Amino acid sequence: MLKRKLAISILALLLLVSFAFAGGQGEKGKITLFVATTVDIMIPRDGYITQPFLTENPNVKLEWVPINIADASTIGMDARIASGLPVHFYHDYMSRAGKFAVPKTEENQAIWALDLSKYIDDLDDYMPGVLDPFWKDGKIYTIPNASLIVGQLLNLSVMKKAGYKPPPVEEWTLEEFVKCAQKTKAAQIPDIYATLMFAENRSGDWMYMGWLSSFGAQLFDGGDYSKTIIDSPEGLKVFEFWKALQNTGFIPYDAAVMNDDHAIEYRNAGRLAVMGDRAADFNSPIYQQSLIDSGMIKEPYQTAFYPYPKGPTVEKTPMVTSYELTVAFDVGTEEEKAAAARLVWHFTNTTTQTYQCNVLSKFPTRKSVADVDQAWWREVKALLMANGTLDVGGNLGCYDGIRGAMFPQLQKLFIGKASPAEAVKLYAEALNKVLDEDQ
Amino acid sequence: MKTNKAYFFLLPAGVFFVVFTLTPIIMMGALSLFETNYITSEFVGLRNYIDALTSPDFRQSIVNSLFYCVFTITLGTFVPLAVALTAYRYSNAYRDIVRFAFYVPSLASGVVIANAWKWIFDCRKGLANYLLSVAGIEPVMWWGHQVTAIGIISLIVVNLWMGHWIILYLAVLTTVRKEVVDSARIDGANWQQIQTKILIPLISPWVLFIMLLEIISTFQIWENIYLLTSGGPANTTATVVYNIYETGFLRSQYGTASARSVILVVIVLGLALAKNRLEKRN
Repeated sequence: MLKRKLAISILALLLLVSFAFAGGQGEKGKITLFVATTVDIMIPRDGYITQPFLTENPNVKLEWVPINIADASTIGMDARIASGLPVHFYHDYMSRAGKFAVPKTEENQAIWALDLSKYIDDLDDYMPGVLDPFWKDGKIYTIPNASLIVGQLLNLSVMKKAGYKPPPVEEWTLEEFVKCAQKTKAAQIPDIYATLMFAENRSGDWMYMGWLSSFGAQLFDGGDYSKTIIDSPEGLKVFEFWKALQNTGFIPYDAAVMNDDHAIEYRNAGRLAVMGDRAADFNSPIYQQSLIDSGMIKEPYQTAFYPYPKGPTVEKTPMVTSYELTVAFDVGTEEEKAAAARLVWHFTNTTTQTYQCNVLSKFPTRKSVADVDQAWWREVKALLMANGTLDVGGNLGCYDGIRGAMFPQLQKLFIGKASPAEAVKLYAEALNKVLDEDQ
Repeated sequence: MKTNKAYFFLLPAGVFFVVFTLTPIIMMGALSLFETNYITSEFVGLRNYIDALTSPDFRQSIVNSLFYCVFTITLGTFVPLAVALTAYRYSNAYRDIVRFAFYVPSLASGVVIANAWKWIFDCRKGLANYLLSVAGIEPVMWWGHQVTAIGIISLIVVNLWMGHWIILYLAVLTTVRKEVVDSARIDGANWQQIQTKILIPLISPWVLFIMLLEIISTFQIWENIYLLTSGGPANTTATVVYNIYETGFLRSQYGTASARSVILVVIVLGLALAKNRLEKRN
């Protein structure tokens, strides 16, 4: 009886092994590329990427590997690499993907990125300066996709209720912002705030880093990433301003324990006069109707997109941008490497970026992408051209660490555990530690 | 022959233990000697341990954990004891009701319970601040202060385990010989004297045992912090385990996180040894 059970068990095991083996073989004669992407990046792969790529590379099979980024960390990719599972390609926001765009070094023996300059021949189609931060010793290990642009979303309907009319975009100054905030507060509209900051987690940086531009503060000195220069009089002014926002009640007093969920809810429900936000067509009737349908608002509101306001000594306010990056890994045969590099091209080419700009409200990094035929889009593009971009170290492999250095100091600032001067010092120390470790 | 059979039956559990417990601990020990984010790795010897012991964040997480212990020991050890002693005085039916009532919360999903508490203590929309406003009291930033945030999280954790401890206390109390209590009564002892002079001294090893379990589990509180405060504000609610999670998974410093885990293993092992000694004394 026991022998029979044993024989059945062995047979079942053999069957399982053979199925598993067959599963890993793929179709005969084809190479399989393991393509890791995060689940929330919404490029429709089939029409824009998969189909053209497979038509061009009929000998390749794509195995999509969804990477979970629920806690915003790189643990999904890290675990895959540490466990030795195959991966040829990675596409994600720059805060995570940048970590993997690294060449082979003595310390880096796990996985390293492919030099794409050998495989992609239309790099001259990129807008001037866009690729500059990504070149390392004459090699390029990642290619940026279309980007998000962050500025300030002005809720004109809230402002009207508060009795404030914003000036034209070129006259949007700190003084005007304070006027707007004071009027909004004085109007005492229930549950409406002048603006918002949140510091429970690292996710809020994209919506408040723009204030650095308002005061002329910078994280890095002209591309020198060896140490930060935020611990400056301008940097201190930013932290003093943030504390003043809390003290005056222009932001909710519990900003230290607020997170993304609150920010999105406040924005969608039209409860902020001004909010740091990405450029998008928030006035579109479809979007406004969706807010009404979901019960967030009762009537549509009007918005305008401005750059961060100019401080007294500031000529222009560089804007925060956020790219998605594509990385091909230097693994497998030459045929696999060439296919992975080609996939990078399909992820970032003119067709894909055109889709991203038209449907996902992004802005291209390629010159050949035609302007979106919408007034708001052209206005935002003009703002970007006029103000330039703020260097937040997004091209660095340690960008995730850079992002993570801010929110603990903001928490200390908002709960009174650190003064603005202490908070900016602590932030500089934390940033320098991240940069040192990355050297 | 009998011994061989015993080993055979122990084999599955043994394999499970070696594969899923012992091997990861050994790998963690090895990883703690490297500075690694899984992409770049460098052997750094004991530097991660030195970093851990000198890191303000890690040291604060140990202090925080001890702070949690104040709450969890008070609420998790003595409140169930008081409830069990009260229930012990009454009929079996009453005890069953108590067991059921206090055990129910542990059947619910931890995430659901955490979110319910999050809403109760939300600054603007929460029930707690609403009740305060009715009484004309200013709203409190419950999750923004160390004492209130740790107090609430401890309450949630304790609430989940309270039913277990009440059942355990009641079981232990039933082992106290009825004659002892009866003779004390005949000698004129009142209920308070019976509790403090007879029952509590007799079950005190169990009280200490539960206290130690509370301390061990307190060092490992993670999910409620993850769901409610993310360790903040300013790291004032992060326990040792949350600090390890943050270091490893959010900052990709796996070597440092491993060294901190080894330190946690040593702390917990020390407490577990103390627990074993107590068990032997029992």
